[in-house]
Amino acid sequence: MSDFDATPIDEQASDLLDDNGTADNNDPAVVARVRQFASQKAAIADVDPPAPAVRERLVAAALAAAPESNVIPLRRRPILAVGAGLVAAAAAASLIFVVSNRHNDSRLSSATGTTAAATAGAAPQVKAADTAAATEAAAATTTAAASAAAPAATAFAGALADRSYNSPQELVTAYQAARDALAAPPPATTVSPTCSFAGERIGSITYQDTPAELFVTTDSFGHAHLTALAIEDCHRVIEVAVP
Amino acid sequence: MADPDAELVAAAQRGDRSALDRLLRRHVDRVHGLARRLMGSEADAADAAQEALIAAVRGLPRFDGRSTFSTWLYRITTNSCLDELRRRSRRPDPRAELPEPRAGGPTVASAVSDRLDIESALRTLPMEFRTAVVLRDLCELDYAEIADVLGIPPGTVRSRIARGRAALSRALGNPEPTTERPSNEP
Repeated sequence: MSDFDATPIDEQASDLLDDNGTADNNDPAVVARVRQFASQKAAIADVDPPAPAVRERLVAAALAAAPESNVIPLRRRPILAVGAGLVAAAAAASLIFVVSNRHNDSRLSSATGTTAAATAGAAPQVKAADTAAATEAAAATTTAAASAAAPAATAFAGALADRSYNSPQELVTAYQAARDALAAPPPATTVSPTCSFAGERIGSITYQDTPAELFVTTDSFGHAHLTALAIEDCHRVIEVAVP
Repeated sequence: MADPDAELVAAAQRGDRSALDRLLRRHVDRVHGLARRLMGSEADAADAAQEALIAAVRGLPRFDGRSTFSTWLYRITTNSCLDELRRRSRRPDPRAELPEPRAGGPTVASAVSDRLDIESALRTLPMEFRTAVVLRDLCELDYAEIADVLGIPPGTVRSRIARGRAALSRALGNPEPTTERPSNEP
């Protein structure tokens, strides 16, 4: 018999220990062997855990090896849409500030055209030459944000635009339904194509018989705000926060 | 059998790094323990465990749930240990000597020395017996799972476990059973 052979008693004892056997467990020799094997089993299982530093190193090394597919692309994270919105809002605010200083007009102009290109995807055309360099950089950021959010805005447009609303609640309810149905974050903030307004254009609506352009913005807490500007003169026909 | 890790695995496969972190922490001790028992030293165990966990993370997108995650992970760990041993062309530590046989059977008092001796005794076992015994006694895999991990028939698993335990018992100095009729591996 070699060092690595097993007797029938060994086999019976091993089976009994693993609950696999129908072996005779009244045989004292088998019972004694089961006890020996059980003791060995307990000793094998009683292995020291790795030291905390070793454990952390093992986990860190494994996490570092995670393939790209295990990492959520940043641009898909809703928080970035909010961030992009904030960047775009800041850029748009700069534009509004520049434009309002230039024209010194308290009323929003529907003909400035300074920001129309942002949502259209073309280069922004800033009339004031002395502010062109500053606003181009800001508008470029805005355009990028608008492009990134375009699919969401398009989807919202299909659900909300070209309809009539008569109350803030009606508008909010429609927006919430669209948002829930689309399971999409609010579109990022960009710049109105017709009015100097920092918001993502959803589409044309009629609010209390006034033709208007509907925009959505996202505040720093991630809450959406709906704003409708009259097509005729860009005045605000409604502004409401979406819970 | 439902895999208790299924939710974490699915989340990790979707790219949830927090889930991956929790999944790793849930198994790192057992992976390290398996490596420790198969490799025989702390330093080698840490190396093999690291190799195994890295391989598991890289292979996670391809894990299809046909076995439980833990069984899959133990297979990777076992292979990592075997690869490591082959790479180093290392036989069981030559400095490890067989423990002195003790007179009489196991007692409560001998439990402590059992723990101290078990590592040396395990090192005397050929790897095919050592892996089968450790996967059973430490990882608590059943015979079918061990067969899956090692790529051998369940009957061979049963034989290797019995023979490994018997050899381990001899290495620890336990008395032989009275009947001595050798059996052969199927």
